[in-house]
Amino acid sequence: MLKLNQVSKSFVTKQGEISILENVNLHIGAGEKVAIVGPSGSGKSTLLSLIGLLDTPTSGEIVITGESLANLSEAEQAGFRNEKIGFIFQSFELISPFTVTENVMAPLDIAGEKVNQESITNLLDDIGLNNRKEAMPRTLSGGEKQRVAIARALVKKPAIILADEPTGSLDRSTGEKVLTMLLEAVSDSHTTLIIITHDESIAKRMDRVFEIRDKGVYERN
Amino acid sequence: MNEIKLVLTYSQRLVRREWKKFVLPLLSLAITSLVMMLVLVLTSSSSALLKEQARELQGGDVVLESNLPIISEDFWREAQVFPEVESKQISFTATLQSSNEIASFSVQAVDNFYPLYGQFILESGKFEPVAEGEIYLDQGGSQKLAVVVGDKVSFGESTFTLKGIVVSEPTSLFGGFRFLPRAIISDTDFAASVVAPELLRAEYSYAGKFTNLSSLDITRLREAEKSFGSEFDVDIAGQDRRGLQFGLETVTDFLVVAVLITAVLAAVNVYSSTLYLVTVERKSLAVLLALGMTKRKLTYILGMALFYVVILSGLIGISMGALAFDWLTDFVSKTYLITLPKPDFYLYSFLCLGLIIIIALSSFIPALRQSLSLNPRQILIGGEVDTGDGFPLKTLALVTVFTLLPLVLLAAFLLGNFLDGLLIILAIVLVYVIVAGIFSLSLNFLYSHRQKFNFFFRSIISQKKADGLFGIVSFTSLFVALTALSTLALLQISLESFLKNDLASTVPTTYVLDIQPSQKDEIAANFPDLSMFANISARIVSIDNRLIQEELASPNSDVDRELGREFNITSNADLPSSDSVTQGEWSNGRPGEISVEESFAKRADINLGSKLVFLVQGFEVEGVVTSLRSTDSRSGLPFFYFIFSPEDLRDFPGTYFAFSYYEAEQQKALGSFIADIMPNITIIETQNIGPLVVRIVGTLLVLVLVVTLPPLLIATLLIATLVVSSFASRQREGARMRALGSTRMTVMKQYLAETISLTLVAAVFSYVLSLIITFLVSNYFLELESVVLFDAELIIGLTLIVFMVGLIGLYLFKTDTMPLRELLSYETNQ
Repeated sequence: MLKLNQVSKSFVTKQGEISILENVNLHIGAGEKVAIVGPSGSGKSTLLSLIGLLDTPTSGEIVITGESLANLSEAEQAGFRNEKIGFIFQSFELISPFTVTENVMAPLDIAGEKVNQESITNLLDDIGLNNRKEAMPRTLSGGEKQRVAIARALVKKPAIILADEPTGSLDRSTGEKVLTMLLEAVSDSHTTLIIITHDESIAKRMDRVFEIRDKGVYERN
Repeated sequence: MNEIKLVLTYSQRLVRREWKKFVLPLLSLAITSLVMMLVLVLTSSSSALLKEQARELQGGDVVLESNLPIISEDFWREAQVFPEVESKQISFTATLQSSNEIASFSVQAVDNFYPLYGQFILESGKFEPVAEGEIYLDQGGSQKLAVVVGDKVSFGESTFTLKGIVVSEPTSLFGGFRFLPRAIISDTDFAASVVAPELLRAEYSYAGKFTNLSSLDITRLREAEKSFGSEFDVDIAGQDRRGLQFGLETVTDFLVVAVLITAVLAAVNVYSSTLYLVTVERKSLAVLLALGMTKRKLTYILGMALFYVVILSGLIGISMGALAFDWLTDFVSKTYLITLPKPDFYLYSFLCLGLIIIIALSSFIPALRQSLSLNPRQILIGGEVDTGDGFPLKTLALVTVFTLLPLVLLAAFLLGNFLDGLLIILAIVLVYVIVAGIFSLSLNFLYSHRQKFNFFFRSIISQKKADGLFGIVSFTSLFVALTALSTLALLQISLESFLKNDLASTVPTTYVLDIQPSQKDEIAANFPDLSMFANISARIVSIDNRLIQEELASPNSDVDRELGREFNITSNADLPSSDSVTQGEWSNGRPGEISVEESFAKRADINLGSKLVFLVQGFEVEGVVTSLRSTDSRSGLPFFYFIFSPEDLRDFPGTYFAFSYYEAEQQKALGSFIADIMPNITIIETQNIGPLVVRIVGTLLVLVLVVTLPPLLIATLLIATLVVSSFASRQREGARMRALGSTRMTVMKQYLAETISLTLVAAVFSYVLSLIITFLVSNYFLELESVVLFDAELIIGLTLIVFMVGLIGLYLFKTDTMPLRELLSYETNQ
């Protein structure tokens, strides 16, 4: 499903070239739930942005659902993100001028797909926000915002969901509820979930855990 | 949802939900469209008026003027350009009498074809060609003679019946500067009058009407003029700038400068507003990119959102501009009886809207591209900053060039010359980039030495440094706005001073013209206070043995055409009071010496020691230049290019010109004296023309103000936009400072100090730059003689702006109710 072959990433700064990841090899199967852990600055976010096509590797190859991401044009990258990847961010990142429904529908709009209102209603029902479907993001609580973000990530039925500290901005109780909802949703849809976290209790609920250290990615036994 | 629907839906959603963020660009663009529309239609209308007035002022498209009767047909044949209609006129000044009163008049003897252009408006009835025994007087003239329609008026031994009283002539716009009241008689009556033409200083005009005068025709006319030598002058409407016409064209030039400054400000405003909008909304935009939207689609969505704003603001501005023009036309028509020609509103609305769209989009796209160049990863996930973007000033220079590019087209259109337009805009770009460069270098210098400052100033320096390109653009835009504001204000004051200088305090109350040599002694005996100057016509034969008239006749002559004309020369032992010697020594009446006015001497290549030979009434008179003079041409006192020794001109009878500072009683006594025995003499009483001049100058100043105010308003609006933008970017930094223990008051003081100090620096340097620009524009573009480079009101205005910036900042701070918790939340703080 997801393969990283000898992937490296470095940045050129005024102080010289800084290497973040070196020769990373990774293989994650369809429907797997994976946690990536590691200290701050170890390269977790860089890895996520490479998998999510928000950045390109310095060398190596990334393959998702059998398709190599190398040499994709900017438009092709955008199309691939829309089709195959769902994002969930720590700071929710809802589109501020859009209502709850419009935020959830945005990936479909962007793809130019016809919106099935019934499926949107069902999705909002699943996340318990059908009564707030016309609300603006600024009027929602943190938990509600993250639930909208989850619905938006799921609406296109992507192959992979990339979640960057999805409960990092929520209190423990709300975070627990949101995580449970996310895990149930990906299990039901057989979607691969890659989650970045500092929280060991979250990592333990995943099928596999990878740790980033010394510029490499290693699976915990 | 297909792509078009997506773009339309998302852009509408953005404008509808985030309309507050579009208010400033909307206001700015609406004012820009208003002023642009108003200036475009006013320029078009005033150009048409000037063109019309130029013909009406001259009485035709081409006018031959001579002091003696000529056969005009010979000239038309030589030029191979024939008028559709020709009107022959004779103008002279004379004293007319009614049964009780006497007054000097500018009399015009006209044929049946007069006027070729324009129309007369009478107090009652309709103007008809002047028949034998009839006379028309203007309102001033009828009041002076105390006559009404049907009364008798006499000139020499002829008596006329007053046919009508003229309220407005085709040349009414220029009427205020005609010294004497107007009388119109028929040419047959003039021929029949027994007044000796040689006693009158008559001018013979042959006005031709040409519906389409091509540039080839004009060349042929100029060629024919050369081959006819110096017999007469050929005036072609719209080809020469003189008198009030020059003043009006100067105002039109000023309008062009004003509209260009407005457009530049609007572009900078849209650029800054877009940069602000995209900065504020950058997270939403980054999310859309992460969800798979391409940058192209995102650009379309934002572009479409701006397009709605541009269309709305354009329509508001254009409608208001058209209404303002209507009001102005009505006001001018009622107050000054001048009908401004209607411009093509559809054409100018379309043009204005097009220009606004181009200006807005061209300033929007670079700002958007600049913002979208940021990788969404850095906004959404964080990570290392890619420093491969290069030097920001290079980007800024490119962005500025792109933003101002369409303005080249506007400048080229308004100035009628692409190169001029390009140069003006390049100069603006250069100023913009230089200011940005200096600001950036100064900031870098301060930043690298920030440890020498206390925490308060160190924070300000670090904040500005952290602002990066937006900070540079903000400061440069503020600088440009303040420079534009100062320049406009100084130009307006210079123009006002230029127009008002027409009314010098040294202007005498009474001029006496056309005193014949035989009449001189008698007048001098009765009115010894009159200062009298000989006025003798002469042509230059040679300058330092260079035969001027012969050289002028040759086809490839490089001699200035002005040297071919007839000059009025005078003789005087004393230096006139309005003159001062700048080179050489005043002759004190020594024979054989000539004094020359210095600017003319420069044009004619005459120096101290130059030998000049003149042809005076068939005889050659020569002399050596021993002094050059500067003279105050606005003093209202006699002004001569050449002053001879009285002995050199004693044998040449000419006319005499006199002036005095008489009161009304003495003026009346002088009038009665000459009307009885010397009707050829003309008296001009200047106190009557003063109020008229003031009124016309007043109109021009209103026009200047109308055009100056909107750009000033936009500049102020731009400053407000920048303050609001900088507040938005400071809001969260301020919250962090408060979380670290700063009081709200300290944070506010720091923000105010930062904003006010930058505005103050920008105000001081922009004033210095505007002095240079005003000097250059006034001297080389508007050609104003007096340039005002210091104005206390402007200094006060700039100080008020600095205060205003502080007040806006204070208001934003006081009304900011967002709680600290929210400001510092992870979600809003990214």
